Amino acid sequence: MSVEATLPIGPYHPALKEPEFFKLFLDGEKVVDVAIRLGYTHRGIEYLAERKTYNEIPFLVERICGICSNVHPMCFCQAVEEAWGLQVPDRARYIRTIIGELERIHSHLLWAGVAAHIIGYDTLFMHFWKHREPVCELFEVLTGNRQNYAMNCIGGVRRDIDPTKHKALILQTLSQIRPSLLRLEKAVTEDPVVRARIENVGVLSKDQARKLCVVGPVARASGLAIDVRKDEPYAAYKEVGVDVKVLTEGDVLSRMLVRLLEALESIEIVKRGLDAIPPGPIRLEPKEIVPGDGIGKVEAPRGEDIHYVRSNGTDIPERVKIRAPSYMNVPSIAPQIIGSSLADASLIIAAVDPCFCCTERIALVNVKTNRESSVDFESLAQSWRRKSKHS
Amino acid sequence: MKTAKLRIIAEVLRSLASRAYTLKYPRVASPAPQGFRGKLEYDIEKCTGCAACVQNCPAAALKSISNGDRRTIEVWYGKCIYCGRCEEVCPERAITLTTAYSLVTGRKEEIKSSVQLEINRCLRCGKPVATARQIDKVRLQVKDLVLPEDYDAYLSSLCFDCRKTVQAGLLLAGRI
Amino acid sequence: MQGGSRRLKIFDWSRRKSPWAFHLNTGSCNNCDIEIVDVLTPRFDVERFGILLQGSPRHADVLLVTGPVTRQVLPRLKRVYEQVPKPNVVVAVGTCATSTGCYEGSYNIVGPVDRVIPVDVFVPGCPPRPQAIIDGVVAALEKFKVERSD
Repeated sequence: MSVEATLPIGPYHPALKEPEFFKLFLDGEKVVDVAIRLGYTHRGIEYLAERKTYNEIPFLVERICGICSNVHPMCFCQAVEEAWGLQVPDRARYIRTIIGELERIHSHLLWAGVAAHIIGYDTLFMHFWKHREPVCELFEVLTGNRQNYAMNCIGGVRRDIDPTKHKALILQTLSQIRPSLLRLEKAVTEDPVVRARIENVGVLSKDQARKLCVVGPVARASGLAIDVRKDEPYAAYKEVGVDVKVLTEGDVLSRMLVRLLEALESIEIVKRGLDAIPPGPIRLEPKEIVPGDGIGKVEAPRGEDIHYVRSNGTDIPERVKIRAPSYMNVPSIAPQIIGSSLADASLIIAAVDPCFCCTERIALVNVKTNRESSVDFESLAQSWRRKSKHS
Repeated sequence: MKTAKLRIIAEVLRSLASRAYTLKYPRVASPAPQGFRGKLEYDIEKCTGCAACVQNCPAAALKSISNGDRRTIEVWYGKCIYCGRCEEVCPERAITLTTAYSLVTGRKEEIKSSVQLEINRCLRCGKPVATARQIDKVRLQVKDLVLPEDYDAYLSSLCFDCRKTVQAGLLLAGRI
Repeated sequence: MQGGSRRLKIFDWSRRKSPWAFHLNTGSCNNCDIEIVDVLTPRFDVERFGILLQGSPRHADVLLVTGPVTRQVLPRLKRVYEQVPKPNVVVAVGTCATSTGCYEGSYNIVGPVDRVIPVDVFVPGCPPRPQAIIDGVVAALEKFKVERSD
């Protein structure tokens, strides 16, 4: 196959909301290779986290990503609670579950709208985002902000769900969006024009998915039944239960269906959570900082998110390591896009639901020897500052 | 094919028949709900100038500037991330996050707000000690803990070094 | 020349009545970007004011910038700003674009935005409510009037 042309997608492109760079190598209309270059949204979060106190870090990691903004503080708090041996009160666990599932609904509807916009179906985009609005307004009442909820803190949650005012509002919002979601799901699956655009596009087989270690809805659409909420339950998922949706075709249509079905399942989980939520305190003040390691694992709307925290007894952590789900999903774009036509390229990139701002980590590779090296943050920061003075 | 298209047309007709979903902002005001984390405001009557808010701000949007007789606690709304941490940690509950959300400006340095508090100087050496309100608060707490004959108002208005010197003098003189 | 100044007034009026926007993410967490896209959806619907989000900076009157500027984005930001035709207005949306927010001190941040390109209006918030973004764009459009009068 000869490479006749290369097409850069990005860093700024009408179909993409974030800066990222995909270089497509084309043979006519067919994509023969792809080079992925990220790094535009690298803000040095792990570096900053080692210079802030434990109470400040949940607010910092919340701003890693806007769409998964509940997942990162919850994961960090779980990691610290494991390191310090804290038992979070039951009511706080249920509240974390409810907020996490409401976030999943809003994230999946957001993605469905973006995917519809990419295939040119703007009516569906507007309808998906219209039905997403009540969830954002519900968050504004529950947490004080439409996107950055700031609900999680070490030891519990910061705000309570009032059984008199908030519970009725949550149930009303969910009963408002559920019939609309069912209708829109049918509008996607029964429409042959939409199916022609997204069926058998960007196929990832079960074997490829397992080899690339993809996570989240991408894995579940390719037949891998992996879900942290079921495999290693956290918060209140053991009590509330989760029905994991798995499909086997591995194309964009399966991913869209998995996400819409998950959004409908999240509505049921929130209802079960609200019925079973026990009374009690919502926050436990930590009494001492225990040196040790902790790992927090949470099922983000995009997949498994892992935070590692090493505590050394002081009020600043020694090491914070973040592994976001898109880090595993973005490399799976390569086998999907190779062999597809150019017109499907942006859809395939969007179908793994990439969240590039979550994904930005740094690795130092010597291009001559192709070896990775590790260096501490302080020397990295100093050498970069020196370079920017001279450039 | 027809069913799917009819479904989306039905969705559109449903939207047309129901009340307009669009907010008529900016013609009609759209206030934020109660509990919204908006612009923070200080209650000057309650603030003691302890700067707990300054120490706990994740974005370093709050600054404490002390120069001799005055302490200024300043917030820059352009740096604030509206997280509500300052409201949580303030021991006097002097900070409230209001529902004001529109802070649009052409000059970002102008969206600042501050409170100013008087600093007390040591009666013996003249060095600045703490804000007058902080000292008053500590005085009230100490008064509850000690016997009336043991409470010394003069000692409570000295700086740490002078208090040590004066108390050492009293000890040596056998007065305490 | 009278004919000439009458033509310019018409251009100025059309820019204010139907500004086309280009959105530029310089490394933000995406919250502000979602709120900008949200402003186009049925709840807020700025298309009734004639605002359209465009795919090319050359079609834009209003440049909406989000994010603290990261090192990799810096040359691209400058290049995009040069491509936006004059006169234009730049709106820095969000706390990060106004002042780098909680990312201050990181080795990869060279922002905020007004260190790189001139900014006309700042809309602080984390993220700013869509109503605040509408206020910001309306305030920015007033600048078109001021620019023309001198």
